[in-house]
Amino acid sequence: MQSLVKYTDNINKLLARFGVKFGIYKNNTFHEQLFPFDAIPRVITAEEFDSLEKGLIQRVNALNMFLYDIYHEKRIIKDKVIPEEFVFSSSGYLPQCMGIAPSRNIYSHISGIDLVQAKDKTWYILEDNLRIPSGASYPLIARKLCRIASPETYANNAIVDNRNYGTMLTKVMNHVNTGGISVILTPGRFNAAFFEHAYLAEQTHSVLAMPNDLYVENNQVYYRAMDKPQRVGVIYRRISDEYLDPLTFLPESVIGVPNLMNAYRAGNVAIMNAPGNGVADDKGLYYFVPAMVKYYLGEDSITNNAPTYLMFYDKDREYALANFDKLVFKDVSEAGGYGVVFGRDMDSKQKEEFKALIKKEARRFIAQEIIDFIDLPIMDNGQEVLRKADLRAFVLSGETTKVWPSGLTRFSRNPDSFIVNSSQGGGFKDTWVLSR
Amino acid sequence: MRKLEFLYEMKLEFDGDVTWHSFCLRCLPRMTCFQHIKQLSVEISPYTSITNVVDAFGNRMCSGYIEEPHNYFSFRIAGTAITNSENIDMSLANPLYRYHTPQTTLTHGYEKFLEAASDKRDPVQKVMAMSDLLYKDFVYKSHTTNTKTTAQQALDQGCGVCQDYSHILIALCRMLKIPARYIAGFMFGEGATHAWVEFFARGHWIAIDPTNDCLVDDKYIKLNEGRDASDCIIDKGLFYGNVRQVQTVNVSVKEISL
Repeated sequence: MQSLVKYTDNINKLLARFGVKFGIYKNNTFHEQLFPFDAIPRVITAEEFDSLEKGLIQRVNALNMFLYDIYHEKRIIKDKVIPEEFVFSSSGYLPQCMGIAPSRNIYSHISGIDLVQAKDKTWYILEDNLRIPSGASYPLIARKLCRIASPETYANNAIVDNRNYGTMLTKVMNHVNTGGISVILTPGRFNAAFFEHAYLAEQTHSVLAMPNDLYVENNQVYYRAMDKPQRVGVIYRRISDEYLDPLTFLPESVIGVPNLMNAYRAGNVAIMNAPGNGVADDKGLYYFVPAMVKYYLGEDSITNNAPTYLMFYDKDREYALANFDKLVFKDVSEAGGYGVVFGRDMDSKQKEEFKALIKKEARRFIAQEIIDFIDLPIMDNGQEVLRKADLRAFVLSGETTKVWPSGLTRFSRNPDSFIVNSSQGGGFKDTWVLSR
Repeated sequence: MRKLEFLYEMKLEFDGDVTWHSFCLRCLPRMTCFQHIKQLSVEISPYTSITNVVDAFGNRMCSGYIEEPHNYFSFRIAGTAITNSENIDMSLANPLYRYHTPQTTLTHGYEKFLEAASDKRDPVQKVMAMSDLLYKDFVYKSHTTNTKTTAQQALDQGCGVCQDYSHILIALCRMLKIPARYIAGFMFGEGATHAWVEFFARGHWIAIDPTNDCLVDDKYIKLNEGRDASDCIIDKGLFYGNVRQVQTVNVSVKEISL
C-alpha cells in the first residue's frame, strides 16, 4: 500500500491525461475539474462484503418490484403500505410511464446505492440512486493505473479483481436488448460525466451516440450510421428523464430523441435505466424501502436505513422539532448533496424559519439521525489525515442481480464537512474487496 | 343520440425546407361507452408511414418521421361519431387525477368558489355550483391566454378560453378531493377544438363543460384526456430548419341523419 501512496502524484497525472474529469456548473458556467484520487484504498473484508452483497441484492430486487407495481397495479398503495401522496406527488413519478412494461420487466439496471459505515461497523444506506448513478468508471480506471504503478500490491494482497465491470454491464445490456445494436447515449461533451460515457462505451463495445445520431421511425429506434441506419436494441442513456423525448416530456429539450417513448412503450427498445425510476429513489420513499422488502419478498430487510423521520407523519415531525439540533434535514426533491442542512448549524432565526417551513411543506422534508461514521485515512500534503467518506456500491440487474465487487469511495477534503458528493468537490479512492 | 360527421384539418406551411421531422398526433377520437366512431380516415402529407400507439392516458396517437426536405405538413382526420346524450364513463378513477399539476394549482382567489360549493352535500352539486359561479365570474376572451397559461394566471386576469375555464374547475375539484381530468375534443357548431372537464362522482366519470355551464351531451366528441392541457396536445412535432411557419386549423362537426 505504501508503494501506491508513493505513486499518487503519477497516478493523478495519468488520470488527468486520460481525461478523468468531473464537470461542475457554477454560476451558469461549466468548469471541469479533476476528481482527485487518493491512493489509500478502502478495504472491505470478504465476510463483510458477503453480508453487504446479500442485503444490496435484496434491496434492489424489492425496488425493481416496487417500480413495476407502481406503474401497473399499484398494489402497495391499495394495501396501504405506502400513502399514495408519496408516489403521486413525487416529482420522480412520471405518469407518461404508466402501463409500460420495460424489457424483461427490469427498471433499475444499474443501481448506485450510497452507504456509510458507522463506528460500530454497521453499514447504513444513505440513499438509493436508481436514475443515472455515475462513478463506476473512476475506481475502474484508477485500479488499472494502480496495477501498472505497483503490480506487487495486487500480487501480495488477495484483492478481488474489479475489472469485470464492463463485462457485467455488457451482460445486462444484452439481456434486455430487444434486437439491435447497443448504444450509450450521452448529452455530449459538456456533461459532468462525459469521460465516463466514453469509457463505458469502450468497455461494453457499444456505440457512443449523441442525441442527433438517433431517430425513431415506424416505432423503431435507429442509429444514423454512414452506410445504412442500424436498428438500436438497447440504449444506456445518460440523459435525464425529462430531456429524453421532447414529444413526451420537456418540449424545449434539444438533447432528446423525439418519439423515443413510443418505441419504448411498444417494446421495441430497452432503455437503461427505465424512465420514471425517480419515484423509487425519492428521499421520501426511501423511508419505505424496508417495508417494500417485506411486502414484495416477504423477508426482513437485511440493509439498514439510517434512522429516518418523515415530516409527513405527526409523530415523526414532533420528534424532529423537539430534537432539532441532533438531526440532519433533507429536501426530498434535491440531489447531489444540495438541500441538506444540519439542525445544529443554524442560528436561531434560521431555525425558526426552517421549522415553519417544515410545518408548511411537511411532504418535502425528511430528518435523519446524524450517523457518527468511520473516518478514512487520506494523504493531505504528505500527512495522513482522517476524513469523512461514503461508499457507492454498484448493483447490476440483468438475468440475476449482482453487486460489483468494488465501488466508488468518495471523501470530503474539508475536515469539517460531511458532504462527500463529487459535485461538491470531494475526492475518491479505490475500494478493495478482499477474497478471503 | 346523434350522428355527427367530424372533420379536423391542420396545415403547417414553412417558408423554406425542413428535415428530420418527427411528429406525434393525438387526433383520433376514442371509442367510449358514450361515443361510437365509424369510418375514421387519417391522411397525412407528405406521405410517410404512420404508427399507432396508445399513451399512458389511453389516448390514441399517430406518430411518424419525415426525413426528406419538405416545406409543408398537413393532416386531415374525418369520420362519424354516434354519440349518447348521457356522457358517462364507467371506468374507475385513477388516483393520479386527485393530484395537482403546475397548470392546475391555485394558491389564491379560489375561496369564493369553494364557498359556493360548501352548502352542497353531493359532489355533483358541488361541481355544478362551482362551474356556475365560474361561468358568471369569468369572461370568455380569445387571445388573452396561451397553451402554457396556468389556472392561477387565468383566474388572476379574470378572462380566458375553454382551456382556462377547464383548468380552474379541475383545480377546484381536486382541492375538494374530487378526481378531475382535462378533456380535449370537438363540439358541434364550433370552428376550433374545445376543452371540458370530467370529474369522478357517484362511482363514474361525469363530463361538464364550464365554458358553457352545462353537462356534456351528445353534441360533443371526445379526443384526449389527461391531467391538464399539456397531456392532451393534439399535434406535437419537431424538425430541423431555420424557417417561419404558419398554421391553419379547420374543425367542422355537422349533424347527419341517423
